Amino acid sequence: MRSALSEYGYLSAKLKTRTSTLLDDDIILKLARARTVQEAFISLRGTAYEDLERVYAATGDLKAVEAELFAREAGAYSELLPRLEGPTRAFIAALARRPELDAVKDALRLWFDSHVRGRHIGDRTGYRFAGRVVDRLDFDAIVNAASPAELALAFRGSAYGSIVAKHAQDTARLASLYALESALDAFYFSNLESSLAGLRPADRRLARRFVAFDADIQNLNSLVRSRLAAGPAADQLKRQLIAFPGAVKTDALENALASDKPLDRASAMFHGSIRGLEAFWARADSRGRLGGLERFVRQAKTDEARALKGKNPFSIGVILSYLELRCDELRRLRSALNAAHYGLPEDRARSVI
Amino acid sequence: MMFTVRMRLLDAAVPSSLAKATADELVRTGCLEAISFRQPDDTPSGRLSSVERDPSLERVRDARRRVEGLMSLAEPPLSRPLDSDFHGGPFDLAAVESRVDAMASDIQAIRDKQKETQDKILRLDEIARQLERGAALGDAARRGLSRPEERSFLLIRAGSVPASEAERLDKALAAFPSVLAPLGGADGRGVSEDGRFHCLVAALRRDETRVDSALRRSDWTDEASDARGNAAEALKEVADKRSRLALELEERRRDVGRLIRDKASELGGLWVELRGAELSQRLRSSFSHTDSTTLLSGWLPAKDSRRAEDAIRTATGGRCHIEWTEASEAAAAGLVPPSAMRNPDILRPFQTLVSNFGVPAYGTVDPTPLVAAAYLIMFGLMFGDAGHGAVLAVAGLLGRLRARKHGKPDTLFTLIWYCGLAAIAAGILFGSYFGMGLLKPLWFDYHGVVAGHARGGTVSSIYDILGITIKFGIVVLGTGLVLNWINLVRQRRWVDLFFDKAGLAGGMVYGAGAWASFWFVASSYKTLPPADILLLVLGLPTVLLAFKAPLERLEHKARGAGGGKLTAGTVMSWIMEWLVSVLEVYSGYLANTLSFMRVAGLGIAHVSLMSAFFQIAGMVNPGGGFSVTAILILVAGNVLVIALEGLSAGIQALRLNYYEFFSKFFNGSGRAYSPISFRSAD
Repeated sequence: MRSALSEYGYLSAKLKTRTSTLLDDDIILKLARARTVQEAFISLRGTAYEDLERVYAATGDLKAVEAELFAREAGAYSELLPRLEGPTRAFIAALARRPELDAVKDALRLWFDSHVRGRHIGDRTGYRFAGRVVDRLDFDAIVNAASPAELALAFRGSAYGSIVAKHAQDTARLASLYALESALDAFYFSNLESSLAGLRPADRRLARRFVAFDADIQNLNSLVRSRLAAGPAADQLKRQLIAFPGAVKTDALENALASDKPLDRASAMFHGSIRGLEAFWARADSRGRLGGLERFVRQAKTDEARALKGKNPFSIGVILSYLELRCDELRRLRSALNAAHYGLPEDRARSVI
Repeated sequence: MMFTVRMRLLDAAVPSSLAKATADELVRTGCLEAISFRQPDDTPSGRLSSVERDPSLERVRDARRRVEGLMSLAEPPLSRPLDSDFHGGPFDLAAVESRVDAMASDIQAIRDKQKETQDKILRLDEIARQLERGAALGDAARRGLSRPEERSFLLIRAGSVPASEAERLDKALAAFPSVLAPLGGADGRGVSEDGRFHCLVAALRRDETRVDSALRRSDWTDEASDARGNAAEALKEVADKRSRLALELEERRRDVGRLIRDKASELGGLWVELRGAELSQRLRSSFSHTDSTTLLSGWLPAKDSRRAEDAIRTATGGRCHIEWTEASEAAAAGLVPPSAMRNPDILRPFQTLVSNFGVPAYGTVDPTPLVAAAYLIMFGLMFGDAGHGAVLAVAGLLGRLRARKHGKPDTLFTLIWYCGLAAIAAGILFGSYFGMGLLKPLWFDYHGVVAGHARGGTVSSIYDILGITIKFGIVVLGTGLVLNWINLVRQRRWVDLFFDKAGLAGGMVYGAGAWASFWFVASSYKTLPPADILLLVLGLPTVLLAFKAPLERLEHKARGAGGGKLTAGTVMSWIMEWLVSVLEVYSGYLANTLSFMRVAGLGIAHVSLMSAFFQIAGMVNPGGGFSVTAILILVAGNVLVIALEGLSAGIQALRLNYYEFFSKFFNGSGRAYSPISFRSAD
């Protein structure tokens, strides 16, 4: 195994330079103040995102800009892979399946809407991702597959081949993407878990903590959605909970789900693991708690990534920190542009950014 | 130009009711750097209050930035109006904000229209993709094109309408993304002998109802056809339609620029109002006031005193009290005057180089003109080729024009332009044109000297070139020392003037050292000057350096600044300080001087690289003459030399100025003069 110095030395310097180009908070504040999308783009001049204005000025199309932002998110992962080797590469490749899965789900939804529901998707296909993150996928073939069998064929040779082959027929028969998407999410986490095994112990601890955050966010998302569901749908959500070592226990979450106050119960589980959550919980009203809990955990992950910036540069932390901060920035940017698009007042915009 | 600009301190008292008018007038003059009013010692505490911050200032700043954003959308961006357009007076922020909102909405409306066009393009792209994949056409052909394929979101119909209905059908289909491609016909335009127009209609299934309706109204009849054979026709139609939409999209994009141009005068007016109000408020935030009187204070160049005084008197109708204090008096009272460098516009890039290093202390030498001369001479010596210089000059000039067109800073491009001109001049002196000796050199043949075949002249070997740069270094360093002495005289630092390593003592050591070195070289490295003279010109100033620390202690004591008890340790520290100074003077000055050999080094490298590329080109054509490959090698070589050597020469010239020249005299502890004006930074 290569030494940590030779494995992370170059990458650490490169990523630290890139981290220094992340948007300052005052730019985010300016974005929140923007009254129109055009004005939001003006605030981005002089930053790494200034060329987005050209995309918008040429088309007036915010979705085209969002597609560009997604491509950058995917690129943040994929451009790292050629510079990595061995277990670290395997783990980052597993992590890179997050944006890849997002693109896959997007393509599957287009296929589903067009071929199962019979809806017209011509105005949505122009924005779909066409690049490569980990596997080589023909998104055009996925969207245009004439049958579930053809759909499975379009995924053949990729990590998702067997999953799609198993669920494609049922997806069409039951007219529901739910089982397929859940299986893909489960694959994402199980793949991550197995890729953790080869990492150095210190790297493994760090990486596991980051993935556990993702599992918590996903489970909380399911929990919040279960509040809106009932009967079989709630059972489905229970099955969707991800059991990941280091994340809050799923059986405890299931109990919380069954209680009268599921959100309060869920928050109680996080109090010990996420600093500041208790104070937030005491402050927020019930509506704020509902939307805020997931955001709080996400913020905790970003804070941890920020703290990692100043720590050991020769560990996987430098990669995790960069990826989290870059993706968080892209997420905030998307929110800010949408806030401007929908004309949200500054305080509302700031709360969603 | 030789020294920083002379400053004066303004103190004024105006009626509080006229404070805003006074601030507005001072903003128009744009020369006052406001400072907090200094409360006299005999003023009872609590009598003076600061002006409260206007809560609307943030809104004004936001609105101004929005206006600037709108102005930047024109092509090229609108330039900011002149400060002379600012008149102050009442200011309705809400009204301004609503005007800005209205303009932003107008732009957003154009963007929304662009989005509609873009949607049409995306749908056409989808139709094209489907056609290209062939699957949809294949399915349609199998089904005789009479029924839309159920699972495809592309609807394809082949058929005919009476020729008289063709135009109507075309118009009806133009209302949504669709393709109407003529099929066959005697004239190739789809019209057959029976007077019917045969065509292929492709659209998205979401528009199926509209397609059906358009076809019905035009008396449509479905027909079987070889759809695959017509795919090319349909694709061509898609491409034509797409390019029309792309033009429309581009036209709408330009509408934004046109809208901003139409509103240029309104936007300019708004900007002046907002910026003026913001600056006026910023100026007032430094004012102090009693119940009825407002007091203000600030620095400004002495030559602007009259203008500022007139502005205050105009604003107050003469109801004011004004006092002026010279910078030297104010400095004695503990205030630090700001430094301003005032040079002709032509020297602006070099002033930027100086201020990037530091701001000269108030009253000291402004080295900008000397930096300009030294920098350009160094660059010319390192990059002496008229052809390469011409390329740089053109690149700099074009960059400058482009930057100006887009309202961006052009300092770097101007510097590149000057460097190009310096290289042209040096190239003519050395007879070098793209590495070729096209014309006779006016000074010496650099290429000939480096290649070892120079004949006669004052410069015939590489040692001569090294000698030139060392002499040039001595002149530059000597100038630096003289500038330091001037600064020390102006600052009345007599001990430093006589006993510092960069003072007269250090200068004497440097001068004597240089003289002794030339003597040694002139004797073919055999003898040094007579020992008694050497002892006098080197030994005496070396001893003088030892007096600096004790004399400084006496000076401190005389000023009542203490100095502590004299101990053996103090004496030891003086001796150590002296030894370090001696070491610095002897080894430091030698290193500083030899450092200028890099000028020769880079010049020689420039020539050698060009010679190497000529030799490589020659190897391609051993028989002589030039082939395409040889020319390509020479072009690539020239490009490489211009890029690499240009960058190296630029950086090294800067380095020699900053670290060899500036270290002799430059005191970058000054504070930059930053008046509140329409030109000041955000």
